[in-house]
Amino acid sequence: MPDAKLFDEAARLAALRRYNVLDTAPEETFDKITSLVRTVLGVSFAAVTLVDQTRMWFKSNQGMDGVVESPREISFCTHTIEAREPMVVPDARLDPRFRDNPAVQAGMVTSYAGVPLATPDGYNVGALCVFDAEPREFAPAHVDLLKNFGALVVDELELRQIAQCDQLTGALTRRGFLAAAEREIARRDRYGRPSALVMFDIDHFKSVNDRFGHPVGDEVLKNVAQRCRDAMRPNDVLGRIGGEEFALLLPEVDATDAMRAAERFRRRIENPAMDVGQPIHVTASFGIASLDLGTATPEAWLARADVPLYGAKRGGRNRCCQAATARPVCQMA
Amino acid sequence: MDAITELLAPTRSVNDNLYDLPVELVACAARHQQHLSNLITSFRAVGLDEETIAGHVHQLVLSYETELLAAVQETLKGQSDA
Repeated sequence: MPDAKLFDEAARLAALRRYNVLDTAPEETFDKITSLVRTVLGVSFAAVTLVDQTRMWFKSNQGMDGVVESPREISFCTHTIEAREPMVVPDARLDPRFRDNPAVQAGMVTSYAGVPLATPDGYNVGALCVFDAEPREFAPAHVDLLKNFGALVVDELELRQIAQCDQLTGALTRRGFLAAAEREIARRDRYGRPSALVMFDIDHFKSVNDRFGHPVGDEVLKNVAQRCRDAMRPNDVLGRIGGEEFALLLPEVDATDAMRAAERFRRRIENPAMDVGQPIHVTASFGIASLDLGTATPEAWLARADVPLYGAKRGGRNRCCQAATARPVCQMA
Repeated sequence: MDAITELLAPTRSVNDNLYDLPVELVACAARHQQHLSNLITSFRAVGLDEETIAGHVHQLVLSYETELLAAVQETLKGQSDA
């Protein structure tokens, strides 16, 4: 029976996004693992790679100072993640898949061994790999060793993901969300790409708790988060900022599209009524702030979205308002 | 208990104290311990001596423990933020 998860690219990318690890700073833990791998296997290069949509990004690499990513189409690891078993290439010059690869042609990569980094639910998000400029056979015991190091890498990714995840709703915690927003600001600084932050607050949530009890309130929170996830694109990020307050990070979205997206989320929460043991009509108020040049920190970005959110509350709730230079622009339900 | 098994003990004692933490975190720590045991078997299979293995495992255990404790703190902080 074919292994469907190996070829479900959208779900694989979603699994990678859940780790919230792309473009994060180097970390000693991962560097320690790649360093040990390099020492024990006696190779020149060792790396932890995450295979994104169009690029292979290095969480850790030993032997290639300053290299942070490379195009996916020329990466060996993109082949590694297409299987459950390790990929071993003793001499890439003799392998039709790789002999024309620029890194092989340049004499930088001749031998390669990589193990897929599989999430506990079965998606290969990247690889732990070693390579060398010389041809080399890898003994089965060495490949096994690499596999076991690979399992440790996934353990570390899992640990970070659990720590950043709100246990009730599955959204990122406030800290996790702020870290994601900080990376988005860095991306703006590097590439000048647009993005928007949408902050929303469930209307009259206190009365839901008071009237129906906290277990029902918790179900409403879970339901709201799920409805958002159902309407999100793979690159969007959802965070739970406070009790009944959430935020969405929308990369590659300008002010007009951000307003449209927020409207879509608002309608999704409003209809149909939530069935949490009994039907409850839930609405939310939204504040939208595009990432402008004056916004330097994630906290400042959240604060900018908080202003129109307050405007939406004051204007009657269940509506979206956008931060503007002069005054918030609102769209009523 | 040999020197290497003893190295895993601190992680085990941390696990024992995590009964009131999210089940995912406890499960993650337990998986890590199993993976370390597998790694030790692999180290022996490639012919590393016991002292070298103990040194490598010691590094990995210390590193994971630091991260695990940070994750515990983050989780607790996340719960109080929400």
